[in-house]
Amino acid sequence: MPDQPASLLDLERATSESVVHLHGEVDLFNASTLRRCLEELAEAGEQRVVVDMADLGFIDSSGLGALVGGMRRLRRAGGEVVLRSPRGQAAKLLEVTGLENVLPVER
Amino acid sequence: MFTAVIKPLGEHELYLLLLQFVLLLVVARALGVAATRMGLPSVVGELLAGFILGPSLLGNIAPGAFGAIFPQRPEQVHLLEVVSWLGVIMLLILTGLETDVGLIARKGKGAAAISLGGIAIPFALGAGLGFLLPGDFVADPHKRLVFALFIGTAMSISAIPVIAKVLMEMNIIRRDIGQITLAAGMIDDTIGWILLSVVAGLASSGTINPLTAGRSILYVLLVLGIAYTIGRRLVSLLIRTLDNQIGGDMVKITALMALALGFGAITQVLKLEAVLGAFIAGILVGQVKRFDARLRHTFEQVALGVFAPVFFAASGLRVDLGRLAKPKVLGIGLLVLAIAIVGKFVGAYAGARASRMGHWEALSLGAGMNARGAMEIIVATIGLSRGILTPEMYSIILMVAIVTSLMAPPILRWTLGHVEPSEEEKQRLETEDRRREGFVSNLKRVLLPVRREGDADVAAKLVSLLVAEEDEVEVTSLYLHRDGDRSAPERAKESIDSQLEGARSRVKLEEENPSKTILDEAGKGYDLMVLAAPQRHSDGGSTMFDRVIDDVIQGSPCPLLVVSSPDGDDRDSRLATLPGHHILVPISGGDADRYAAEVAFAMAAGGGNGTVVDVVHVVSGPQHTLRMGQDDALLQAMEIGEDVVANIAELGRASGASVETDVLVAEQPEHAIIERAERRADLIVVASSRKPVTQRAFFGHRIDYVVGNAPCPVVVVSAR
Repeated sequence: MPDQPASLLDLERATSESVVHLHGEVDLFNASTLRRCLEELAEAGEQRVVVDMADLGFIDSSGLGALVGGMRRLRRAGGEVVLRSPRGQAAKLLEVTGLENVLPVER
Repeated sequence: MFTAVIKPLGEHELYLLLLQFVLLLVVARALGVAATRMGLPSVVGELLAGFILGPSLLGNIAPGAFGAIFPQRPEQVHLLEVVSWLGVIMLLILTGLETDVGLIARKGKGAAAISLGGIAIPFALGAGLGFLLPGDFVADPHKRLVFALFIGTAMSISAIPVIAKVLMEMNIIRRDIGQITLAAGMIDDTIGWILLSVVAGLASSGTINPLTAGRSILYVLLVLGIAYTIGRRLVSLLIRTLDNQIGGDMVKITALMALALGFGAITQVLKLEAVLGAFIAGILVGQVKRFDARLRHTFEQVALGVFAPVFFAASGLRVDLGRLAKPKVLGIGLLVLAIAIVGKFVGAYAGARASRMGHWEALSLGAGMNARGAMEIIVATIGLSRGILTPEMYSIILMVAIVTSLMAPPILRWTLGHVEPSEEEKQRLETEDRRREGFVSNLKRVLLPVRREGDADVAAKLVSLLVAEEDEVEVTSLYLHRDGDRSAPERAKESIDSQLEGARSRVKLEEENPSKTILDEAGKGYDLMVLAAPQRHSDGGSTMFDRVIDDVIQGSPCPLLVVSSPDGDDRDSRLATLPGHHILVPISGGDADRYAAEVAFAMAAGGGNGTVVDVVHVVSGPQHTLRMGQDDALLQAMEIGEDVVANIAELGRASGASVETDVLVAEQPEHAIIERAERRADLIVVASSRKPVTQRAFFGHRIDYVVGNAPCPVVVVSAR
């Protein structure tokens, strides 16, 4: 893809919440970046993390693993993960796997 | 003239033999067990049985009963002696089997110095004493030289079983100090039996002059030389051939016993003592891989459970301990004992210090080498039966055997308590612990059945990767060929020979029932069978691979490694370039995961640097079963998954593999695995703990799906 963004994710930190904007594709080659980002937020004691999926083109099972793994850590540290605006393949995958039923999703 | 009738064994003689056998066996075993319970060497209790049943006690308090049960008529005594000799032969076989030639080679330098010190000093002191002892202690005053040399030999022997038991009980046997003590003890034993053979040979050759001495030494050198060159190969060939042609444990035990008796007969006729032959036979058989630890254990149970106790008890039967009570005998006895103890301690200590060991290590070696145990009893028995020892000297030597065996364990426990392991040693012990529990590291024999030429390449390549880091694996390939066409197996053999150095191969005609031919071979004690199978889409057909492979998978008596490659897959190039590639290991959290992971780690190590093992666990999505808020189950599954991959990854990193881990979330785990393999995998290794219940081979639905749809070769490890 010619106009692929340089980075997988941008992190926007505010007092009330942190927003992780995902771009392009999350797959087995870069899922660890997402995983590490969420881990760091959990360690920092972040209460509310929003994963913005509006610009996400594709996510695979590794990416979902990173999301759920990150969520587990945040929960344990007393925080919460919210998935925002999943579209296309990502929305479909959340539906097929049933994750949309157990994870907080903001459309 | 050959028809002369020999009077058969009388009914009464047979009855007495059986009675003696059962009495000696039961009392010896009972006291042996009692001794073990009290933390003493069992040989002490077994010998005591002989004192109780013999002239020392029973003969003293109830001479009538003793005379009735143990009449001192030569023909009756000889009958029991035959049983005792069998016990001695079996003890020597065991000693030989337990002689770890590899260990001696590894620890050789230090152990040799200790052993030499521990032999030379007591030998010199003992021989010196032999010259000075009063004439009435020497059985044949004309042969004082032989007597002196014999006492020297008796002083220089060590008993490994007593030492090994203490080392094992203190969990110290694998530590450096334990290993070097064992190695020194083994060298002691070997030299001791050689010395004994030469000395006993001198005794039986009547006159002693440089000629007879030279002949005895020459014979010993000849016997050892032949045994360690031609003998070793012949014994290995014999056991392998018997195992291949007949198979099973029984034939190997028969071979061991026959070899020991045969070698014993040879050394006996050379006037070198049968014990040397039996000892050599034990060493040679012990080096054959097919004669494994389990078989050794079986033999040991019969030897130590039946024959050895009878021998020890019979040894105690020959002597009246009352003789030791005479002040002169007791005085000489204590002198011999003191020389035996001081000689060994000083000798082994000096040897250990000379090879730069610490004070406590050197003391431990002295304490360990000092135990004479069963070995000394055998030496004493030979001395008595060759007319070298008087009954008094025989009792004194038995006393040395008992006292040194009793004192060794407590002293050894005390000195070893002061020997701290070094960091390097701790690491070695950890690695060994891991390898001991390992699946791949415990492989000894691998069977590789080949029916089609193409199968041979991929399976052989995988086996070569698998065992690249292991030195002691014997790979046997079995080629089945159709009548009249031997070219395919020949080509397959060439291919395997080029990949697997030193593989043994056997070619068999493929008969009506090829799976039976393969399973019959597999029943001969293999640790792993590697099967190459073509990929078939698992559409629920009547077979998973084909009839023969399905049958072999279901009937396999040993763990299996089934390699399935997609049609038209360029197997060679994919596997040949494994370095720099990825081996995908999907794990489910079951016991069997470990085996698959180990296989992958071994292959990655065999493939060289740069091969990465991807350890992956898939958490099934909650699909539609869970409602909003019921996310605990998912997060718990995630946590378990992360733990499971972390544990396996740790195992791999500890064995030096580069490992990456991932926990996936997907609707269908098997789909996620295939998807992942399509992106990044050159080989999938997966475990199955399934037992097939139908006609068709079956590893579980998920594994069947992976095997049927993988874009790369799949190895299924079924360790059952």
